[in-house]
Amino acid sequence: MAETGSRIAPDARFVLSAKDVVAETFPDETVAVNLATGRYYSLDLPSAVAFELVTAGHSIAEVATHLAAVHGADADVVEGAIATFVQQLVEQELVVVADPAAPSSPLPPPTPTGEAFRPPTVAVYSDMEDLLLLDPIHDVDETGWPVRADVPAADPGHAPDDS
Amino acid sequence: MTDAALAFFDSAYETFARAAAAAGVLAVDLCIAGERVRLRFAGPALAPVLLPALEHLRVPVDPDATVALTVAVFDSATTGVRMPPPPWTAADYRPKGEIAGFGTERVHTSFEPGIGVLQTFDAQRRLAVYWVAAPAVVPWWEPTFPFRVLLHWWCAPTTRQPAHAGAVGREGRGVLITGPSGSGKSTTALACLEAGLDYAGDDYVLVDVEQLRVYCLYSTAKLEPANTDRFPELRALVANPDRLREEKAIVYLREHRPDQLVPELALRAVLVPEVTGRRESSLAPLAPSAALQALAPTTTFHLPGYGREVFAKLSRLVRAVPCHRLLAGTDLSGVAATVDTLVRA
Repeated sequence: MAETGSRIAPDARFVLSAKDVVAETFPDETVAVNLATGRYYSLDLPSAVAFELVTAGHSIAEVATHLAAVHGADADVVEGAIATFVQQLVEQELVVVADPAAPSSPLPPPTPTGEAFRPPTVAVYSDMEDLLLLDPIHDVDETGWPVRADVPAADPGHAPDDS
Repeated sequence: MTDAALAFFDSAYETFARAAAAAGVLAVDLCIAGERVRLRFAGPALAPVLLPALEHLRVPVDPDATVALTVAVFDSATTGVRMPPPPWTAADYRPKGEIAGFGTERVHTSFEPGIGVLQTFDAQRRLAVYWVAAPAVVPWWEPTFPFRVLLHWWCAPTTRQPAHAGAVGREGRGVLITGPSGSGKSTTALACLEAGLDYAGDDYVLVDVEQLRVYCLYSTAKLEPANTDRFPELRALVANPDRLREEKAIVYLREHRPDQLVPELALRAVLVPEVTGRRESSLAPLAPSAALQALAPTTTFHLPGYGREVFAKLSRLVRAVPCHRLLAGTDLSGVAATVDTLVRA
């Protein structure tokens, strides 16, 4: 990964982790699910805009420049906030480093909104993670099928009227 | 290339055929969302375990009818026919019972070691095998919503989807009630049942995200044992009163509320309950994105495979109907009245 120390480099590019992550964008919010980890995510509108730009393959510096122009904010402040945001996306396995050879679509021209810049964040929900825990295998029967510790052993070799 | 998943499916189905030859076959036809689903039980042991929740869907067996899905059901203990050893290793088990290397576009296989139910489905033949080593292996909750994994795979290429939700309504119109386990979904559905509304389920229902309809799958009602005091009439009907330390209280509504069980409802809204602690109930607007957060993760992470497709289908659903937060009060009649008003609107 293009990182400098613990901080991601400004020229780093990322895309959605296509194998495991699915996201749906609504007018007010983006909802994403990581199918591999069991976590799901909510991004409010400003965060969803940053998410869309980042996952379109634009570098952190490009996204920061764009959002600084949109919000009339200090470019260094915005770049730091975007780097922190992307770091969170990386830690949640929502994005992966983009193929350096892959072209990204051009950024739209910045349209000032008059709204102050707010650092993007992603709300993380982990209440479903337990559903993806693997069952421990306590024992297997003589044919190799796992058996539950709480179920009396059955003898599948006996006919129904053989007991 | 050898298709290990298909080879295993064929092996499992051949084993069912031997069990059927040894123990006889009971065929049961169900009508699920207008489609004929045939269950073929080898031997008599599993039908009484798995059928009670589905009896309301039963239709006369018609050998000449087109069957949309056939499920071959058996156990080894009572038929005397062993299942061949699994051709995978312990390291191949994945979450939700998926097995590495044994899921393909055509064949899906699920076995959770901690549960002990094997399910495998050939989408091309619309044929499934459901096997347990012995009837005693079937966990208590399975008979309350049997075959939901197979129905999930079967529906995958369609606009239908089993959803972790309840549904109630009136005069053919209904609402989907969703949220993760413990969110008040069942309590809301059962409050509506007790208030006289029609009922299509409190835990899993089938939705069609194109037709915007919800179909009843299971005739069960499940209550947390601590919650039975709030439903005194249902409490008297609980089928497993002696096992409430380990199990939820189960009521088979086909026996006790047959007139309120409806096969389908036109979907008018999605409701996400939120228990408030106040007495009164009310509705609040809910963004489709918030409804999706309540509906999609709990459905996606309970069912193996097709997570991407499930998410897309449920996204389509919440965009298509109004969504509301149900601020559910402590007065259950008020909860039901709030839902009823919405259904009638």
